[in-house]
Amino acid sequence: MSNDRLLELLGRRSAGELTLKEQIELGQLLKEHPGNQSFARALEALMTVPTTYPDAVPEKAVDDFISHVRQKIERKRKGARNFRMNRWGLRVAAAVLILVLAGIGYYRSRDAGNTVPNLVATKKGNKTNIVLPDGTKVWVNADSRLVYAPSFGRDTREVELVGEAYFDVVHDHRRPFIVHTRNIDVRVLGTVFNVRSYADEPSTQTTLIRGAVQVSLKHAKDKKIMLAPGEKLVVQNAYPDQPLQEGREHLPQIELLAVKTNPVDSFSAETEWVNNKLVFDKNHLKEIIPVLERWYNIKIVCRNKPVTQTFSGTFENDKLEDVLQSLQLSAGIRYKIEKEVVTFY
Amino acid sequence: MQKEKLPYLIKRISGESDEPAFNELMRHYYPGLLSFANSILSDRALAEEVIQDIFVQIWENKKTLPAINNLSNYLYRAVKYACFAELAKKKRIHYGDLGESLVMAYTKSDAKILSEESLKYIAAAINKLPPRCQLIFRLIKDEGLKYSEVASILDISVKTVEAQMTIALRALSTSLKAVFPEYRDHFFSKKSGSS
Repeated sequence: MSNDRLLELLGRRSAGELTLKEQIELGQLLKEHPGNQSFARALEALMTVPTTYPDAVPEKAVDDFISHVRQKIERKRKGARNFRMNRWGLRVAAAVLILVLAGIGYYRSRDAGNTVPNLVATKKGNKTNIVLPDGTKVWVNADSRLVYAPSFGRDTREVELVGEAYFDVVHDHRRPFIVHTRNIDVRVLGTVFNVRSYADEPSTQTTLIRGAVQVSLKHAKDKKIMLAPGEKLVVQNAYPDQPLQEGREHLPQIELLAVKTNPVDSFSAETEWVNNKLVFDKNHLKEIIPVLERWYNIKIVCRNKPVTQTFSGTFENDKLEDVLQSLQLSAGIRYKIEKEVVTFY
Repeated sequence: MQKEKLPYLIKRISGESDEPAFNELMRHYYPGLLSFANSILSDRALAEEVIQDIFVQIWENKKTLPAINNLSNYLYRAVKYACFAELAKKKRIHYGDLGESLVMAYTKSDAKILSEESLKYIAAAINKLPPRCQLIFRLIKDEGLKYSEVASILDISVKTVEAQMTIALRALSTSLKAVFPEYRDHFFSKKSGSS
């Protein structure tokens, strides 16, 4: 037996890689020579000695490091808080309060007792964020409704969504979190993701930021799709039992796309609305119009010539006028604003 | 910090946002991660920055911490990718061999057979090993990683990891022989012993 074989086996043992056969072999090698045994014992003792860096990284350097990390966390937290105050503001809070009260009133009249579902709804031009009883944070985009039962979190965590919301779900493997929409269910354990399911849009989109989610299709329960971070699942809102419209046959029913995420804050065009940024990424005008209508609570009337080009751009806290100006500059779409109605011509 | 304490720390951090527990976690991992990052970047200030940002992210996502199977493996991978991203920014995408690790030491042991003197001697021998060999030995010894995990962190084969580990152990056996002269003749059978 060579010494190298002994070293190899001792190495495997310290990495926890020893198979039963090798264990027997090692036992034999150790028995053969008392010297081997004492070496193995010294090695075992050494493996429990922690590696330190008293000269290269003295205690002071570690303390400095910790306080730097603390400062960075604090700075980010402060930034986020100030930003959020500007973002949502009192206007939104008031609007949501009214809507929540209205929602409670609506459900009261329908159903008495403690089975009354909770409703969070937003009007066009408004957004809000709430914390669910389990600590999950939800950002609700304009013109959306989120409903959850009072028993939420007892055995299951289920919400119903019409519209768009961004979820930061608290991890709880015993109670999966499920978002029900018109044609998909999204099932998660603990992750961050965005679901967009507006009734007036042709598709339902699920974008995963972190963790893992499982999407199941309402019309094909056995079809389950796992998403990885940075992936977006687009499901066309047409059902197989409905005749497809002419010229739509070529449209794939389900599409899995990669999302371009900003490596710094992991936000993408799909989720920037949470930061109050309006983002277009190669969108056609007909896709942009409903977004603008919801964002600014306006009605858009098209009298312009058809536009085939696509638009890309980010608007941060910009007024409607600024967005319309950009459209005019880039595609020559002229516009007229009369109260809440915008006319393109 | 003992390895057994890690699950407890993770629970305190994720469940109760316990700041002292988070400090202890950083205290435990920082020097080793710094040595690793420094050997990729050869720029200590940048290496510090990279690791700071990773711990900021860990704190912000502390709720998901229990979902991470093996925190050591996760942290070393996170540092690796962050360092690569830094190198890519500087258009130095190719990293060939690892640079020098930081100089380490073994200061105290609970085992009586290893005196302070002998630990010093052994640490000096390890410090003389090539950087990659040193790193592999440390990742297995201190972070409790498996050969396959080390292989994937360093983008090398499992065979290479095993071979490097054997080289490290050979250096150790040589220094242990020097430390324990009374064992010198017994440590290994002489070639004539048995075969």
